[in-house]
Amino acid sequence: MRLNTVIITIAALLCAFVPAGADTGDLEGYLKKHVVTRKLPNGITLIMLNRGFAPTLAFELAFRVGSADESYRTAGAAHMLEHMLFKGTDKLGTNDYRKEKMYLKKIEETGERLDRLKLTDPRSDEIPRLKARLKKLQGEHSRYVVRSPYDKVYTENGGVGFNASTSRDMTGYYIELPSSKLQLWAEIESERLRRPVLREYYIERENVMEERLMRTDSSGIGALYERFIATAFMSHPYRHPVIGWGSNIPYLSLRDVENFYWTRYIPSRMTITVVGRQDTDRTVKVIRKYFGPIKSRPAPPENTVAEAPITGERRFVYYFQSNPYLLIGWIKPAFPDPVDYTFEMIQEVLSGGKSSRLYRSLVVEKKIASSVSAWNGFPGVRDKNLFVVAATPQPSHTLEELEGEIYREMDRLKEDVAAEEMESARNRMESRFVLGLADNEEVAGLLSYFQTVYGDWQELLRYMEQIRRVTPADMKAAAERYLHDRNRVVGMLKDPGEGGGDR
Amino acid sequence: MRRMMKLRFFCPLICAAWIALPGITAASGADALPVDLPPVRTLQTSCGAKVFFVGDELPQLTIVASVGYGRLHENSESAGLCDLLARTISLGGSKRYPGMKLHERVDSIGGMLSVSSSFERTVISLSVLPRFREEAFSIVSSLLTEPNLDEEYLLMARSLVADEIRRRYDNPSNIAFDRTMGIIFEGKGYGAIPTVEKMNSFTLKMVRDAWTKYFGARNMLIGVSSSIPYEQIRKDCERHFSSLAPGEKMDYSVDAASVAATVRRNSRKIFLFPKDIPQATIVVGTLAPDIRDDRCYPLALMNFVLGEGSFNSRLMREIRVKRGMAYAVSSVIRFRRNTGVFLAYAQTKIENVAMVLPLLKGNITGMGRDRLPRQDIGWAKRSISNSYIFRFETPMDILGNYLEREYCGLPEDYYERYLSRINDVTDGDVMRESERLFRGGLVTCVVGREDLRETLKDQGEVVLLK
Repeated sequence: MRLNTVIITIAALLCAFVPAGADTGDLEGYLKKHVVTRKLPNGITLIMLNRGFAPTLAFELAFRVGSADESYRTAGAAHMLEHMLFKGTDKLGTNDYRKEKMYLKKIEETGERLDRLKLTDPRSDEIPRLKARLKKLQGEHSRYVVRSPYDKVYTENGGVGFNASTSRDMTGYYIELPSSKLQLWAEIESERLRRPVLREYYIERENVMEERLMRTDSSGIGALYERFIATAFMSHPYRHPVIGWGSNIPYLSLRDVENFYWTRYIPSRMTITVVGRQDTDRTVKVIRKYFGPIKSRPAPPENTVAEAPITGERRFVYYFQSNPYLLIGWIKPAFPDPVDYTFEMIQEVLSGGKSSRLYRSLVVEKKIASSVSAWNGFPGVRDKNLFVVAATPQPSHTLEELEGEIYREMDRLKEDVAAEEMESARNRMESRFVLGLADNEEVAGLLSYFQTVYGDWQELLRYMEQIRRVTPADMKAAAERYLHDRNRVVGMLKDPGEGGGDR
Repeated sequence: MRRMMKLRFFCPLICAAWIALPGITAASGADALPVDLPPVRTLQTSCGAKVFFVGDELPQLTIVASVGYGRLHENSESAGLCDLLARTISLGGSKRYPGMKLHERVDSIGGMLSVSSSFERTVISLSVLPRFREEAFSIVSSLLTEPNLDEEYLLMARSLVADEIRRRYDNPSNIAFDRTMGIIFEGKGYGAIPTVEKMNSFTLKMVRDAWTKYFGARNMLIGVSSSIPYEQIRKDCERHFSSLAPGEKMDYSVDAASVAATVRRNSRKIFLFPKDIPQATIVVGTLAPDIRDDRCYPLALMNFVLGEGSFNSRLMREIRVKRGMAYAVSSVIRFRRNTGVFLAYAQTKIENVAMVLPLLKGNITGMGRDRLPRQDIGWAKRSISNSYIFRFETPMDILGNYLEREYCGLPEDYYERYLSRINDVTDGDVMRESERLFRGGLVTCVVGREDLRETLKDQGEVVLLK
């Protein structure tokens, strides 16, 4: 699953009030005692933790909505919506909403018509006219727009890290503010959710295309990952890139994005997390006052398209001007299947430190790799997912040689894993649980993540308990059942100018 | 999993890390809470190493040894030697903890060990649970006093660092930043860019010499953050860090006049690094003053308004928000002990380059041409003041500030006075210092398709980079 890195980070912080010499058990007790949760009548979950010496708060507002909730038509909508929720409301972001509204309607009509024509009749004479009209309308509309409205208020009130992110599983909106700005935050964010106005949509869509160019189309590794996931998942929506397909974003409909908002961003899928120095009773009052009036709405249907079982290896090569890169993934069950915890341990044994199996064998001893890592729960954790090994070969070796050596290491898991090795891995995980000292923002992110994706932040506490139960026999059984060639996806990045990786 | 596959609304290409931090300022607002920062204790070991200690409520021990040696001490002949030394120490360990034994030990105690070099410093840091205090001091002191710098680990380190250099240039923004700084700083200091060929020419003797030259007590600052009482830490430091060779404090120098002349000479050119990708990366830059220069305050405000202040900064507003022409656009100004650098960048599709480049440059030079509106400078001051507390959020933040102050030779009250210095800046100061900063022009570097040569020729002499 998930954490290893993540979890780990958290707890340390939490133990900010735990006496020296505390172990992870104390930390779990600390969290149970000090994390306060509330459920608002409309279904919103509120999580709070009072901690720290500085009068600051980290806020995270999260929805169990991600690209896994999209269809082919709406691929990229969750991420596009995240961008659009920075554009303001009917009060913030405008100097005259009554007048602005007329332009918004005309812009949408023109934009939608233009998009459809470009798709259905790209040679139409109407296209240049519509483009000119859209540009003119946008220019006139801009007179009523106050751009980046939240950002200005937040920065001058001491806000840092104002941002948001979208993954396949969830979407989160973050900021850190001085503790005295709790009410300001609640007022702004509740308005942002109640009355969003998706203004300047077609301009922002261009920015998202630029983002895609940066992350995927100009990056060999970015494009490799996109193809790797789409190869591993043939039917499940995990196959859609979070940012959307390059051929889809330019036609992503404003209406679809709006509809996505009103049907998916519902209170029962929402978690508010506040971590830092605070009076939690007061926080509850403020949150109730501002977020309480948000009306509950019915839950949309869950995705019903399951991934068909893999019945043989899937393999591809992506050519791009780049150094070579190797990705290998094995499909496996997700949480709450106990094997997910077993794969957490496998990840630790394989790549949990510089003395772990893969680094030691491939980088230090055989000198065939320049980097190697393994992780569990890719590209999301809400559904069946992948255990992945990523590696880069040293220049005198090929991707194929490296791949072979990785399989040799994976086969060793089917032999015995020594008890000492298991113990060492557990120690590292438990120790990192304390040492990964994080700030308020990281703690908030972790609590929010567990609540949003797993439905209960206390899954975080059960994690170490489950890890302690994993046995060498479990690891052997998981390796035999899942880490074989018929359950495997392999992606290679090769430079066409370098002999396609045969260097 | 959280760390993967998450797209952020805003993603800066370079981190405008703040160095300075203010004094004990509470959050603004009527209901502001008092700030209760932990005190920092200092001591000097008998060999001259200076140690800073800050208490932590968290049951942990972090030891940071910060050595004054980094890219700024290098030139085109030695670029990357600091990286090689750090990697060799990381792989080879010490005489007491050689090679894999070091990592087995660190992993078994659940420690987090890092050895790395940056522009000004090479840092060894280790975090453990308090019960491993003795072993942690032993590991760090042995890495500092008896690193295992032998041929086997050097070869391994060289191969890994060389591969990182190769892979670094798969990313167009790395190419653009490195090339821009290489031109501005004439291949020295900030402009010392490692190459695979140079890396492969470094010998064991060069690595050992670098260690001998820089890893002396007088050229090192040690920071400790822990829940363990100060008295115990003091004894541990005396015991483990008193046998360091005293060495000498090492400094680097930058010939500002020469750098300024180089910027002027190249300011009408556009350096184009051809790469066949659909998006171009544009970087412009120039020399900035060092951290002890009073010009830092108006220039910090200028940069906030220009490109650092998030979505309301001018570059972001003009290029991304209003026109939809870039996802990544920003500026950074960095003041260091003896030098500084200003850089601004934008990434845009090839078709937009001819429009984005003049927008980028026009907004930058406009900072020295027009007085900042009162509301802009007020916004920047309020933002910097009200967020100042975040520079003191954790004990490690506080420790970092003390190390920075000591290393840069800043006055004792630097952090306490920082905000009042910012608040004293006038719009005239910002305009005057911006004009002075940009008077010599900017070095421009574009990474993108070779046909940009034709597109850009109206905006300057296009020089093709290899």
